[in-house]
Amino acid sequence: MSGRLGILSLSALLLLTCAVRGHSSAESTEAPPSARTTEVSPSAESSEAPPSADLPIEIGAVSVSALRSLASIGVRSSRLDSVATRDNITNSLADVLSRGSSMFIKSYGRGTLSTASFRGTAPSHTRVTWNGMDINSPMLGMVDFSLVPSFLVDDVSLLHGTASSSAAGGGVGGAVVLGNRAPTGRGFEMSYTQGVGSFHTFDQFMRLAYGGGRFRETTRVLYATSRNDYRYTNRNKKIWHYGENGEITGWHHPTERNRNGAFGDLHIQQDFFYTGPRGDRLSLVAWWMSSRRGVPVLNTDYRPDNRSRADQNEQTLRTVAGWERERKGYRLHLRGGYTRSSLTYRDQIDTGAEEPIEKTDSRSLTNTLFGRAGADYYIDDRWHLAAEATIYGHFVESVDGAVLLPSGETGFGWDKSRAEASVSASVRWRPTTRLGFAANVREDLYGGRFSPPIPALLAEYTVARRGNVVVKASAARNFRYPTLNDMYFQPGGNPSLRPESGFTVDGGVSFGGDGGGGGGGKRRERGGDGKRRERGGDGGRESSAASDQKMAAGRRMEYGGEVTGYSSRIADWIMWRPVRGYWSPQNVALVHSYGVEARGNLSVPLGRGWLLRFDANYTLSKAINRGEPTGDRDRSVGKQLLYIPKHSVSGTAAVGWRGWSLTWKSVYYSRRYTTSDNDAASSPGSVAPYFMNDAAIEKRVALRWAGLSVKFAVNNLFDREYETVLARPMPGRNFGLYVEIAPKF
Amino acid sequence: MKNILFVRRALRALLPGAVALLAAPMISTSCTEPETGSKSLRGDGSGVFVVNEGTFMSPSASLDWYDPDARKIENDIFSRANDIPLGDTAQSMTVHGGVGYVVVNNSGVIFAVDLKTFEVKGSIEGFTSPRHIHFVSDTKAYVTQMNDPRIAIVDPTSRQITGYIATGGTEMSSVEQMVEWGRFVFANCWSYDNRLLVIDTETDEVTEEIEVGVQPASMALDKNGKIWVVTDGGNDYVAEAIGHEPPALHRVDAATRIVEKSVQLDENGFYFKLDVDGTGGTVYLLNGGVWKFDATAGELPAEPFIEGGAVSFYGMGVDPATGEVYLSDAIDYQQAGVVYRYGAAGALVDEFEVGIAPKAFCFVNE
Repeated sequence: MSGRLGILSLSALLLLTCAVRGHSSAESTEAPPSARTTEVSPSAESSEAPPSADLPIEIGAVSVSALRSLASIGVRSSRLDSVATRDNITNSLADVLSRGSSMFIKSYGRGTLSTASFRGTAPSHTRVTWNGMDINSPMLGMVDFSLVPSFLVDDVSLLHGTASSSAAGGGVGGAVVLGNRAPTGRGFEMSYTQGVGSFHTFDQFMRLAYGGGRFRETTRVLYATSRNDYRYTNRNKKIWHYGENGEITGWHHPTERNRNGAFGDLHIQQDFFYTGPRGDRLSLVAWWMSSRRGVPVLNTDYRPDNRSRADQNEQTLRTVAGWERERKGYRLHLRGGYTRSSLTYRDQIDTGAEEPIEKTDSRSLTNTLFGRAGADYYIDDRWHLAAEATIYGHFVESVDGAVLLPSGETGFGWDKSRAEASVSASVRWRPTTRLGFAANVREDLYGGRFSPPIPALLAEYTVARRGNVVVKASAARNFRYPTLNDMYFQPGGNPSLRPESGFTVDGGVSFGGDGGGGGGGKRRERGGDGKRRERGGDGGRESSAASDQKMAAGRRMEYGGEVTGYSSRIADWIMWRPVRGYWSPQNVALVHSYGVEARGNLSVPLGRGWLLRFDANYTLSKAINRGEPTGDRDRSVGKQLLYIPKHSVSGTAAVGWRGWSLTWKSVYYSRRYTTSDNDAASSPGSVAPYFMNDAAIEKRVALRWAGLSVKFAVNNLFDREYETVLARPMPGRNFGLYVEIAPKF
Repeated sequence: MKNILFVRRALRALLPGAVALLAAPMISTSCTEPETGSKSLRGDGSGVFVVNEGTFMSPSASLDWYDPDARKIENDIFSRANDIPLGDTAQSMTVHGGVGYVVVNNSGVIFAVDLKTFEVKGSIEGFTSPRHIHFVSDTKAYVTQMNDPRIAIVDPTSRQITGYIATGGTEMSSVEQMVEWGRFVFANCWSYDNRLLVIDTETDEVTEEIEVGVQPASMALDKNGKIWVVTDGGNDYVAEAIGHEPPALHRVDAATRIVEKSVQLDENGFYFKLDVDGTGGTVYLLNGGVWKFDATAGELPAEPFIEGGAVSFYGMGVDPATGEVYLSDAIDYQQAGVVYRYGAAGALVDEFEVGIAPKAFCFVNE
């Protein structure tokens, strides 16, 4: 192919990421309560209650404290430990997820497109909701996690596979549920963090919060800039040494800098929470971001460092307003949201003319309206019914302004809208204290087409109360609809694509408790237990101090773990294939994705204020192409999909003592193939495995007038050379120093 | 006492080594530079080179060498001989003065490669998007570029760009192949274009433009001084800019610059390619299958010389010495491609695996 069309579409698509995936915005029910304890919340006016219905449904006044939550029946979820999310507020969710979960993060570089793969699926198979609203791009289907700072998010939960079906449609791999929480303190709080890091990286974080009576609010501002021009030895290039007659006499690998990687991101987020006299909760969260980023060049690029460069700019506003009423035995909620996202991708080529020419000037504007209404009814402590209706309206304008028309005008694009609606109903039943069942059925409507009913069934059985050993199993169908790019991108969009359809089963066992012998019905999900959420500190976001206190305050050993096996078959998997002169998406593959997920956590108080904590995740992920070969010579059938590691391991170890904490994070990914026939012999047919280690040391001091914290972090501790995407080197050892000050009023 | 001293000494001697051993895998990636060149890898200076594009925006372009007599394929010879990847999206290879010049489009580089050892003899840089190189003399070559309204003039001996030829058209002009007739070089402007350029090699200027159909994709010069051009006709997406029409085969007289004949083609495959045999008397057209016809023929044959069938061939090359036809199948563009070698009479002679997205062939006959 090649040709301008091919390249054009490709370059746009590449940026739009691995170019092969699409999106479904089919939505449905709210995220299920990530596993939270069923401890009855003392009153509806729990200031800790998440504003988001995404998070735990607190079961009104039903006295079920001895039970596991009805809402979490059979759900395989993991909540990112606050240690992971707050450990380094300068981290994006891309970093947090790669270090603290079993997801594979494919990163095109530091501060560059980072997408997530859940259980061996594509980035668009992971649904991402923010305060209940789907934030996957309706054009691209995925979320760039490098643009989601962990500073802005209070809760991160992962819903694995089937568990996501009650949260969002299309989560063939799973869902990432992000939520904001009301601050928990009283009065005004303020904190400011200044970060200075390698490669001229400056991070400024400001957080203001007010809590008092019924009204609470949080304001967060984040401004991060980086030259991001890290040096690396370029082993993909040689500088040839020439003799007098032009013959080569030697060579060396050049030391180069990451070219065109600079970025500047500004985020402003405002949350309001109001709790009415009868416990009705109102919330309004708004998040505006403006990001300007260079698109770094490959390290096999020999072009001169001139004005040729590609940039990506994004301005996005997301808002969600919610109302929630909880009374004895029932809960009602309403939610409305609006997203406006303007994305530009410009690729300029320096041809020596006065002005660089624009090869690509791709601009898109997406407007999304979102609404949801739902009700929960707790018949008694055994039965729970829920129903929900969700609607999204996506309006997309996309144009490439670089295409010159004979009329002298430029611009070439498309303008489409799509409505997506879904209704769902679920019933949860716990016939005995040990046994629970849940069933969910969803019906989607997208762009005028109805899906077949989409069922999900979940069950669990408590094998042993001591250690809270629970066996879970679930099965679900799933559909993912083509993205608007899949259908309308010019050139290549294919309006006749069928949705991808998946069927997933999984089963496993979880356990958890504390060593104090309390055991029993209290299930301690990592960080998910209300009891472990500290008040004070900096409120909604668990402050270091809070976490520290938590560590120190833990008088008992706590442990937990879970092992799950899963198997998914996804038919009509959409891939972009070359057709005449350009690429076009086709329903080509059948993918069988299966494997094992395991995680464990342990925290041990050692006495005298010492506390040790460990978290570990492991995933065995086989994502195998089971489609029909395209011909006799097609050797891709039976092989692992591109860029899916078979093994991923991540772990965190932390030790705390009197305001000091030392954290060590590691992640390992096995070899990832870059060819569909998994021929690692052809070079470069794969990306080498890597083992990455980060460490940080922090000291917190509580003064009379302020809380102070100083933290020093070292990333890539052993200065390893590594890539997660071919020819895109990642930075070597780098440092960050963060100083936080939180005056007391 | 002595024993203790010895143990201490031994410990002192061994400890740093032990520490280094433990630390080495943690700290270093590669302390030792791999040696250049794989000793067992060596060609005989002739044969067929297969240029594989690789996947766009990845360093997976590659070069293979095929020995037609021994029916032996050596894959990935560039990386094996030089220990670096060829780069991103290799486009073409041209041999001049016993040296192979491999044009790597999206890396913006041309590597001069020894035909026997496959080792780099030099590299030429400074391009925006090079596509093909054509040698006018030992000291002057033209390099066409995509999305750049300039053909670069290169001195291969100094490896420098010495000047540019303005190609006219839009600022996004893209020029592809070149053929030389007399003192003129003809070049086809493919993407969003419909022209052939006529370049005077003495003045390095475009002296004339010949309009053919929409998007001339490939061309070849026969022994009678006729330039065969295939236009792909564009598609809906370029229609607004330059129109959309059925693909066509055109014959242009190099001397008069007149389009003498145009024949509409069926759309059988995804890619078009033209080539001639060694005598220049037979023309080969890739359009799904391969259509072979005499350069003096008035019409296309009714039946293809080689059936395309289910495969959409991605590239085609005709061995000038033997008239054998090489066709490539890129399969899914993400795995090892396959090349089919057909004898002069059209029978399948051999098939072998090559790199990702095999695009172009370069024949070297001693």
